[in-house]
Amino acid sequence: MDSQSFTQAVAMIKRDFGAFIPETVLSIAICLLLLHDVLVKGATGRAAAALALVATVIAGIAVVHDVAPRNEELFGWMQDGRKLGMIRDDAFARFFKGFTLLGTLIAIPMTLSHKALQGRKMGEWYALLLGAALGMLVMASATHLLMFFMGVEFASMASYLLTSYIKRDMKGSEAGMKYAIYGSVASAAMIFGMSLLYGLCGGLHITDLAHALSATSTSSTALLVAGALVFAGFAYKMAAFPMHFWCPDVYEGAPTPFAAFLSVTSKAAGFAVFIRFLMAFAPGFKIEFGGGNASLDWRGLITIACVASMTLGNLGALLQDNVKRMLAYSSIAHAGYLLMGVVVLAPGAAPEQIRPLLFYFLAYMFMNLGAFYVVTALESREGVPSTIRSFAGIGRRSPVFGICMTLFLFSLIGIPPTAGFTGKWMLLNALIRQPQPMIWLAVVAGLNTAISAYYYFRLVRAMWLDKSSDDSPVVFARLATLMVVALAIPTIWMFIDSDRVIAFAGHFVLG
Amino acid sequence: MERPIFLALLIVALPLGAFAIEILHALIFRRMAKWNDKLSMAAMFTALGCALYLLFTEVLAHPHGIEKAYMGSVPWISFGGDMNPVRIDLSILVDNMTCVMLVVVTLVSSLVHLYSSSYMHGEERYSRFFSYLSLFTFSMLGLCIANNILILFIFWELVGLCSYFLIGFYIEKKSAGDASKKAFITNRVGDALFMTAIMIVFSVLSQSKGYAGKDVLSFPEIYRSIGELGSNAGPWVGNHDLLVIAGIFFFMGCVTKSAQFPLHIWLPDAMEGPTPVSALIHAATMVAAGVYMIVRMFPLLVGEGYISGDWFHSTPLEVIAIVGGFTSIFAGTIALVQNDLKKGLAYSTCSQLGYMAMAVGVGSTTGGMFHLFTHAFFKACLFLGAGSVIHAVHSQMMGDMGGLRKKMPITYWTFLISTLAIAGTPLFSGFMSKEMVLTSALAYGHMHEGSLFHSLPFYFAAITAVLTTFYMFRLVFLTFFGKGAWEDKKHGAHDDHAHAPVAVYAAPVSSPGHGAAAHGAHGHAPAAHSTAAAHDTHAAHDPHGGTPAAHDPHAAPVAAHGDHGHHGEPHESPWQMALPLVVLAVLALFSSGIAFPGLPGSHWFEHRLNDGVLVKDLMTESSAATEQTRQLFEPMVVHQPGEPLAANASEIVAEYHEAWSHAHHTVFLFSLCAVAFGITAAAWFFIRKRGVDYVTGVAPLRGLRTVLSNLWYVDAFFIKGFVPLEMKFNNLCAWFDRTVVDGIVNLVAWIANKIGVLAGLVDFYGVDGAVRGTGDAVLEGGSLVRKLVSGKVQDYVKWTVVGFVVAVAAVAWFGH
Amino acid sequence: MGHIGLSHYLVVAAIMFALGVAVVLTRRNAIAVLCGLELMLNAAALNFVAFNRFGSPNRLDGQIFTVFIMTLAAAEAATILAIVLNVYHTLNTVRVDEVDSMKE
Repeated sequence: MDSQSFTQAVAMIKRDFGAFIPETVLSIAICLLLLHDVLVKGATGRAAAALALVATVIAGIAVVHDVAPRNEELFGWMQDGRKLGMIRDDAFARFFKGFTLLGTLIAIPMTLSHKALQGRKMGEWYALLLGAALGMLVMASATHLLMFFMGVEFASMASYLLTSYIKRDMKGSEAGMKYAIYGSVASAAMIFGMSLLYGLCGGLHITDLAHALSATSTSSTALLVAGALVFAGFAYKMAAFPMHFWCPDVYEGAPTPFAAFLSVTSKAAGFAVFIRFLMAFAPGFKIEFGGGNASLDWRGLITIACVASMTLGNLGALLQDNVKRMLAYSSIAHAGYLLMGVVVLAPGAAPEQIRPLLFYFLAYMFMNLGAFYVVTALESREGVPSTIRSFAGIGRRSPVFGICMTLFLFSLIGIPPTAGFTGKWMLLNALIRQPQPMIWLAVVAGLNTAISAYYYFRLVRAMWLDKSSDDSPVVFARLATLMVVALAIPTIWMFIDSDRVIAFAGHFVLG
Repeated sequence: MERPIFLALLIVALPLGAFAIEILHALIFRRMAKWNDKLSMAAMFTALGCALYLLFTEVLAHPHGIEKAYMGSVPWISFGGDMNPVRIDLSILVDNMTCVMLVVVTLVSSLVHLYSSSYMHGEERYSRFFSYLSLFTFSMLGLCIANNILILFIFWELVGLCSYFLIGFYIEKKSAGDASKKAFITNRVGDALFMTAIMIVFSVLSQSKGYAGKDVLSFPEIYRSIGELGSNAGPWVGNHDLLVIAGIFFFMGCVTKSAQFPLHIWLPDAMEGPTPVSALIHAATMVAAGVYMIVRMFPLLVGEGYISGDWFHSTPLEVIAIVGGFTSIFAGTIALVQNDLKKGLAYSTCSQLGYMAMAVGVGSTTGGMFHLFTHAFFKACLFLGAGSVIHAVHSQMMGDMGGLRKKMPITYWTFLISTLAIAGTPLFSGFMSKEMVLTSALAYGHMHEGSLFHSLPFYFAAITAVLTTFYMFRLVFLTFFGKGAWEDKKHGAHDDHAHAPVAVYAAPVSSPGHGAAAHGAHGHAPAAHSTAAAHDTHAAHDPHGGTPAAHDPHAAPVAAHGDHGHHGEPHESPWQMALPLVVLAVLALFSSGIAFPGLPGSHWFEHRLNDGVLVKDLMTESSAATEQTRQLFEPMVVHQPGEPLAANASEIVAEYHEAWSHAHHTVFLFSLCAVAFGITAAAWFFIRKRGVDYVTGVAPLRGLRTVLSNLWYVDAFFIKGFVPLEMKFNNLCAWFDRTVVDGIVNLVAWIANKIGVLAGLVDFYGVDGAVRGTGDAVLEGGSLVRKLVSGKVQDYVKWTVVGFVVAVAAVAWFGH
Repeated sequence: MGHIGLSHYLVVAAIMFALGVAVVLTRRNAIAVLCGLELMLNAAALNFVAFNRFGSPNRLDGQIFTVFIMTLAAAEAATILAIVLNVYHTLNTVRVDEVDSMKE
């Protein structure tokens, strides 16, 4: 490490701070929200929600306003003439930061629509939510093993608490405990793996890893174990096989707005860290050492995770009666589909290779949050558990919700004219157009889509064809209706104007 | 945007706008508006004005009409990137042929609108009728301006849909519903093949390098590919069979839409629809769409000989010529024995369509289009005239007509003029077009010296010409001459004061018990107008179902005029019906100028819709045309016989010109003879002898009459023969599926079951066949997965570890 | 006794990790599971320190990371204890195998 004088360091901090505003804003907001609960008497959730909203919006503006990403690492030090730091500001990070903040932005009205979270002090909730978001922001831009670790833990910790936020809720408490134990074990495994990597590579920065790996001949078994353990942690965040077991219970037990938030942003953040980690292992997924007798086949691992996630996720959802649990398995399956987008990444290829994945994330956000929003609205209306039976006749009784939900479900299956279709098509396309096309994987994905149609359609059928005990029209809260429609619009629009969105997604390459 | 393009779009948009407004009104107010007819009429007449304007300023103003076709396009579908690009544009073409078609369609449609305002008056669903008419006109106009075969196909289907609505307009009649279904289903057959042809063209062209990123289904691109074929380059080289198949399949689309044999079966049944519909759709426009399409596709049908002018050795065209020729004679023979006025006209239409198709087949697209043009007017006039007659006598059977000459002078004269036109009498427009068709057929025969097969089209056409004259004049004589059946009834029905009630119905023809003759099943039978006393005995025969009190039998015939209150005394139709007749008759006379070669205006059509110019226009305008491809079409400058031969004309073109001039004289003489002979023969049989049964006492001819009456057993073949056979085939397929296919699937499922047991993951049940079995298997898989989820977090961690170890081991094992 | 080298530390860490996993898998009391978790984390911490000491002694990354791990372990322990307390108040048990109402 080259030495740096104090004044130089301060100057650098000032310079780099501009790119760190979102995180700062969120941190301040967290503190304010915690104080809000303590200081303000008789608070309802609204003021806190407003504060959280403002903070998110400001953070979001901060992410996008300075359009060109700096493509450098922040708050760093000089090493070998390059500036290395723990977090990096590039287009890829910006995408995921913006994505997380958008997810948070939608989670806030969803919280307001949720009945169980009304009429109480919500400062803590929003603080934790923003905390989770903050953790994910860090995850999106981390380039140093420590930051990976910190980001993941920050987000996870907030998530454990948010899951069991509603005290005396049996399911919530149970879910929270399972989540916490499982998640901590996963994190511990990840940290252990990182420790081994540190030993094998001699440094904690991503570039150190890459250099070290290509230079020395290391025991591939050790590398495999280390990599696999680190993958465990990332897979846990992504809810991919084999770390998907927490998903159904947590989604079922956690308050629905948080489950929604988790399903989208947490997954995205997990993918962000994973991809960044992966891309650092240049030159190529299969790393050969020691003159070619040892190799680490990342791609194989990812492919297994991909296939297993898809299949187990879809099979698990088939007979679910609880809609939230079904959506959990669905999100596991989607982790599988998203991993297809990761499988095709090759470090040497064009930066636009990330496009299908980013597009699918955008589509996924709208359709999944939309579906969860409908579930939230339904739950809040009657206070009944969200089973498929509760959906009976909703299509007739509340056409707007019925149509929007049908749209979201179609998008989740991947039927045109929805964004989900375009997204899946792009992913399959990318699979097939590789130099070595993985047709079999595309076939498996296709079969899985077909299987998934079954359980999504059960919901559609319930909404439109099943008899309900009374057929009176259901009026949902205005906010819920507005948000649901607002989420449905991009789901179609991204199909119609897909070219523009795809081009937009292509900008966010790893810098 | 250039003015012609704008005008063309406006013309298409007007009826669409009318339809949209009418439908919106119906949706909002839950009933059809009262002003539908006026709105549709206004839209149509405006469109007509624009179309005429377009025709006069663009086509007639210049000696060769539009020199460079106008085209406009808007990108519509475009994806695929570099690998397999797909591009389809919404593009419009305005050239001579388009302008002519626009005028034909808008003119006939406007007149039919006007006519219907009176003919359909009092109908329950009157307003709906006009919205259907508007939709139909929009579809037909859209078809005419399409520059892309796919867009054309879309409108083609739309037109078929409107035909379905309109044929089945009388929803109370089961026969109407059946007829509309028959029309639609028969059309599906041809449309499926049409679609296949489009797919063939698309796949061949889009895979060729030179066509990447271009709208390969547009006419300029298709023509370009044929042009390249002429120089032995381009996507069709090596794909000749596909070209032939595509050509034949395009023709199959024409076969159903334009009622060629053997898929003509729907056209006679389509007469179940109201007469204005028959006039508009099944005479002038929709059925012409098939011919229009093959004219547009002509270069593709010709294939490689197109550039060099060798249009006479192409397989698809040979098929077209023979089928067209055969259709014309086939339908002509059936028309001889029709006793229903509309059915007779329907078969006549079928026969004339055969002419048009045959003309295209023998290489004269101008001939086909010209005949389409003239035919539209006189056939529409004939149908509307028939409607007028039917309106007057309340029956479609010619047995109930006769002697209407004096009673309905306008109808009579217009009908006569149109019949002269269809017969091909000189000085009537039909003469010029028929002559062109026949000449081209004969020239075609000459080109293939000694080949009987290639001379057949001409022989068919020639015989048909005689037949046409004969049966058309039969219609005229039976309907307008002689003693009218209504006269007898009139005496019988209204002479009620002087006669005893029972004797009232002692009509000379039939007994008081009422034979079948006096009743059609249609409309008002005279029976409704007997006295109150006679009503007791005859009320059961009254198909009208009205109460006796509704008609005042004691009022004098004159005073009882109302809508239909006067029965028994046919009278001329109101002006809304008569005016269109007059206009159309005038056109039947003058639509090809003064119809004799050499007289002014008689060649205006050929100059503008010149065979060779058709495509060259497009090519010069197309953005796809490079200088190279433009030059491909240079030899095509003048192919038109009758024009001086161009210097660079190929040998075969010169040969054709010669054959044409020889044929020309022969045909001219022949036409004159055919007309004279036909009229005389018909007059001999029918003016004096009143009655339909004219072939009495001659045994073999009686047998022939039976055959003809049964439509050559084609329909019977389909209904009793083909369809049951086809159903047997369906049953065979179902048996095969149930027994053989499912058996195999069951076997596979059993094997998988055993594997599943081994793996312990899935059970297969093949109880209801593969689908259920797979579904169950999947669901079972789901259950098994869920068994792992015990709810205990430690189990989760355990399974995680297991999963991980397995995954990593797999990777490590296979990775090396 | 020979020189205590890197491998010794690594072995100890590995054993600790394995023991931690075993504890997590087998103990029924939630607090005990937490203990196992701590074992795992500390194994990692031990690794970091060992590698730092033997691998790149001039730097501090490993030790800093260890400090972070310890912080995290504390935070996690606090969080998990709070959650377990909540579970106890709600479900009246701290045995992880009894907390299984949400299952298939």
